[in-house]
Amino acid sequence: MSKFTWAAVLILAALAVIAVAAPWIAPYDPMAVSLPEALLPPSPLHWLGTDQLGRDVLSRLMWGSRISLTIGLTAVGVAVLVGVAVGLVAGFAGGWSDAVLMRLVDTLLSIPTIFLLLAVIAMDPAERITALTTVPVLGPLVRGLISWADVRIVMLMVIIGLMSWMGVARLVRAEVLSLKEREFVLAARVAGASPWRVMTKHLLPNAMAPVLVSATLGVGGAILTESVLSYLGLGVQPPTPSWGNILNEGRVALGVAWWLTLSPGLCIVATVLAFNLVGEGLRTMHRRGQAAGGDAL
Amino acid sequence: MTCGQRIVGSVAAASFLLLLGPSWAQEHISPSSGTPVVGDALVTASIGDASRLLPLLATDSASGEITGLVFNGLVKYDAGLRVVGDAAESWTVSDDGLTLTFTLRPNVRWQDGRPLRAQDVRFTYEKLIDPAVHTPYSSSYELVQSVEVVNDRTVRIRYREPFAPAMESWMMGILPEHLLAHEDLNTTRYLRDPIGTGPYRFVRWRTGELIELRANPDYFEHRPWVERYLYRIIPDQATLFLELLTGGVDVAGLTPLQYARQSHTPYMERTYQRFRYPSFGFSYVGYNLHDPRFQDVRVRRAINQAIDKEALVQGILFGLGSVATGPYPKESWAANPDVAPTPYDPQGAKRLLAEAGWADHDGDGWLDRDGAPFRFTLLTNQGNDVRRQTAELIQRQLQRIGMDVRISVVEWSTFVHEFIDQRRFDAVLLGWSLSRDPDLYDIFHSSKTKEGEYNFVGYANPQVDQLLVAGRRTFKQDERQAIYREVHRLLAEDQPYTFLFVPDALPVVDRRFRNVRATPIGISDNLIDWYVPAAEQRYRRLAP
Amino acid sequence: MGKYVVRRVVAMIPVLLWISVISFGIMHLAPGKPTDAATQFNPRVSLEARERLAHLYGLDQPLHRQYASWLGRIARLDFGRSFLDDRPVMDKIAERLPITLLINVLTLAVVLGIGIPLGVLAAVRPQGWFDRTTTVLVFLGYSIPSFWLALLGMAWFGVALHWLPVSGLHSLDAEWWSWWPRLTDTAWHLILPVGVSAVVSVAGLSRYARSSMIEVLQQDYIRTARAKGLPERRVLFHHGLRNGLLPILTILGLSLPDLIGGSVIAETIFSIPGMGRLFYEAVMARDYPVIMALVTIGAILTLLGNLLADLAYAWADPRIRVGKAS
Repeated sequence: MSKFTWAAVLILAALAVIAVAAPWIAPYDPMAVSLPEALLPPSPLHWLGTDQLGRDVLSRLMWGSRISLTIGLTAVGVAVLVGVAVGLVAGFAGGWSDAVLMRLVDTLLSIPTIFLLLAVIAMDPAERITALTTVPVLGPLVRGLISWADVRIVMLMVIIGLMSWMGVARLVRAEVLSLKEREFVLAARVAGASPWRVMTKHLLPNAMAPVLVSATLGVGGAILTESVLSYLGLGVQPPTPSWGNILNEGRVALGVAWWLTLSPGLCIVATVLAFNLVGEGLRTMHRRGQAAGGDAL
Repeated sequence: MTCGQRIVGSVAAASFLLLLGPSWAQEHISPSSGTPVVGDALVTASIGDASRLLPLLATDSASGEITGLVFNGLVKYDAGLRVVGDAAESWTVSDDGLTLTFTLRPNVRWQDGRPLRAQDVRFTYEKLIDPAVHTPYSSSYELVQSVEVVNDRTVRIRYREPFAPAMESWMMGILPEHLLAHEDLNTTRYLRDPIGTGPYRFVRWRTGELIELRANPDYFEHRPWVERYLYRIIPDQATLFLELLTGGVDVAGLTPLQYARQSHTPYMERTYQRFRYPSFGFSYVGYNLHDPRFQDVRVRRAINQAIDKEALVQGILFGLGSVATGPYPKESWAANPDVAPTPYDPQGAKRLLAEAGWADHDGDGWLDRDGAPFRFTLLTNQGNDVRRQTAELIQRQLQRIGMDVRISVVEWSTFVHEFIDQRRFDAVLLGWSLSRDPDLYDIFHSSKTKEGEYNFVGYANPQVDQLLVAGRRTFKQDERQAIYREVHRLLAEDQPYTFLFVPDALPVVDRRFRNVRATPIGISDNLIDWYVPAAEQRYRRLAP
Repeated sequence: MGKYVVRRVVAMIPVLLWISVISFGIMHLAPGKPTDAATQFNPRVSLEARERLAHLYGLDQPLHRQYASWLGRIARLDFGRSFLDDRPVMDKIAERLPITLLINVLTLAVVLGIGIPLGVLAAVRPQGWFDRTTTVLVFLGYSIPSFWLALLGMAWFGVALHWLPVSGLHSLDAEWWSWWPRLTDTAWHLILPVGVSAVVSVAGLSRYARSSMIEVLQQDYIRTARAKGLPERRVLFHHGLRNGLLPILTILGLSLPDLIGGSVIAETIFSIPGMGRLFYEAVMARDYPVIMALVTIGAILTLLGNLLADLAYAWADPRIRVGKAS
């Protein structure tokens, strides 16, 4: 891997460490209000300044990284999983299953998600998510997530993921359509490989390139989506910090306190950049691997 | 609308209430020396566009502001909050309070030249109660028995029972019968091209961008000095401030943060006159009185003592507001001066709670009773930063006395339908923006607790019920004052709401405008007297 | 080919119907009523008055009835009247569509003009200095909160330098100017909004262009073309780009509905009355006729975009035969 990629991996590792270690390394209680210290610019006492209620921005960012990173990763994970599966099947099978799946995608893209969300709040989703913890395989995972974040936040991750898989599905389908006419795929099919094998061994690895790009963009997108949802009252509830809501809350004070938006903004920028560079590095490696394999033949 | 008593959406909303809002204190008074001259334009801003420019269909504040300048009601509030004649020259109330007789001024003309007649008043009333018209204001006229034209200049209104808030309902803008008689009011072109009797006439409307009015040269008081009134739609408060910095707008309402931290630069001092006055509204925490925990008045009083309202005013409003003691700001004649703000006293709150059985029995830091911790959700609406911060501060303050408060911020329509109407809440953080009439029947009378009505906390006090009914039935100011002062006292004692604070409205006006002054009803009740000296006029070339 | 297109267009109708049913249902499932905006939390408006309003708007009828009457009107191309101001929905959309279209087309032009060359050039030498620099810059643009960029631009170019207007779409009296100053006035007002939205969206496009070009440039036919001694520029932009365009075409086709959609945040900050705010305000006010009209138009464009993407695909990649593509 290039130095560039290594730098990105380091950034991500550092962010992960901060997220995990937030309770021990944050200098202050992220929710401790102190009005006399409101809106202080960065200083040795508060490295990144304080917000309008006098809370330490650095501590809030550290705690916020837990939630924002988890939301970004989980949401993209859900989106990629669903999107790849749908795209692969639609592209490979073609015919009716393709038509039905793609019309489903169209429908979901056309329905204003905002209403889905509002309808979802009305249905008290937190209870339903809690109910998921009793499901056999999923249960422990959901329980783990809930103990890490919060029921509402887990719900957010799933919702953001389910809102954003359609793009991935279309990309994968388009790739598959083009790949399945290629010689190596045709050869595999002639040789009698099962559809499952053709899909997973031949199509999927070669269709992943655009998916990686969109996934790496998606992590940042999901982090930003969370901030929009907070604004709608569906996101992370105050006073719990997330990068998105720190950014949102800083917006009204932009002319007075630049540090309130600059630091969460930079965190998001760094994360998006790092994810993308790592994605890039992975892809290069994958390609080299393929090339090496080819040579060995 | 003057006859609207609505929730304040946000501090930013204060900016769109600005031209109607009350006002009296001010930091600067523009010198009024010199003789007024005609000319120039006033550019003001609103966060939302208007929708329908006929008074009885105007439901948003932008439409209310524009129709307020284009139309006249029979009466209006003067600078001292007294009801005075607007299009009406005088009126009488019969001794039994059942008959109001208005005499119109002789010199009021529609902007198309026709005189205003008593028939127009009757027509307006007929449209207000017409079930086919999409007006939400019909309920203020339900007690009217008849509206009768005595002659062209006299109209007599009979009521089924005495109804004191009625005066306010006749501040509704009067419609021109000769233009609208054969129109479908819901869809008529006059909704976007109104003709009224007011000081300004409508010129153009670029949807979502701008509404322009021009001075009405025949206005019955006198021609307004400022020739053009431009109403820009600027939905973002930060953008609005940047526009102030380039002179793109002349009048704007600031947020407390902007007022406290951004309006003292040399440029701002040089360019703008600042005003500050209490808005007629208050923020409060309302309790679900069906919840057994909150049924105990000691619990409500304890929370009242445990919330440091002065800290809220200082920390969130930057001191630009005052602590509320009840539903009336201290400037109102209905306010009871003997009701003092409750001092911040967390220890006293703990004692009261202990009396009610709430104490930290298990030593985990949270209050509990019968093994259940004192945990509740404070619900508020999305899109209001002041409210969100207030919730966060209250949460911390109540944590200090051992109450575990969760905050839930919900989108407005969902908030109302899923939570308020269904009574699915423990406590809510909201605000009421009040009209000048002190009637609170709809908010605190025990009959108003059906789904969709406004006594959603479920408050019921027979004494208050009785007073609220009595207050509606007499027109005598001193009797009403005594009644509403008693209501104020009882509410402060019962604490169905914890009254938090009254925010200030914080407008700035370009210094070139003279004669701008603050009164209890706002800075712009004398808009027609504002003027710009010839040498300072900015918009000289008059567009066609 | 022609037959195929016709078949696809006809196949859209049931899908559209299906989408409208689902949207209608979900819209009504979301809490709230259109009469709220005018009446909610105004104690001067009684419960009876509100119910009367709901009745006037037909909101007290069963859902399937409401849907049927909506569908009946749509069949006659009548989108109804807004509950907010009783104006025909079509008027409201017609007022805002040109503004949004203009901004989006300009943005798209800027994005294509910058994003594709950036992507292609970066792909020539992946991991080279040009690639690295553009990667960082482009992502900076993508991940910077757009409201921040917008306000910064307004404060800098508008307030500090006085080069550009702060917000809005026209000068106050532009309506009365002759066409040329009016045009330049509008152009002047559009620089910041278009610039900001281009900065945000250039990232996606240039990344897709780059990654697909990298794939393409490793294909045998490119090696062949190079081996034949064709000039590099011809190799890149003729042989390479034509194939590298595939995913970009998909993206563009898929973003067709975005052409009529606006960003609420950008429109709010720049005080531009576009489709984004129209939709947001309609949603917040539960203005069903406006919402349904926008959803329907959006769905039509989504489906058309799909079709276009598939056709473009077939054009760019002869291996895909349209008849089999769906």
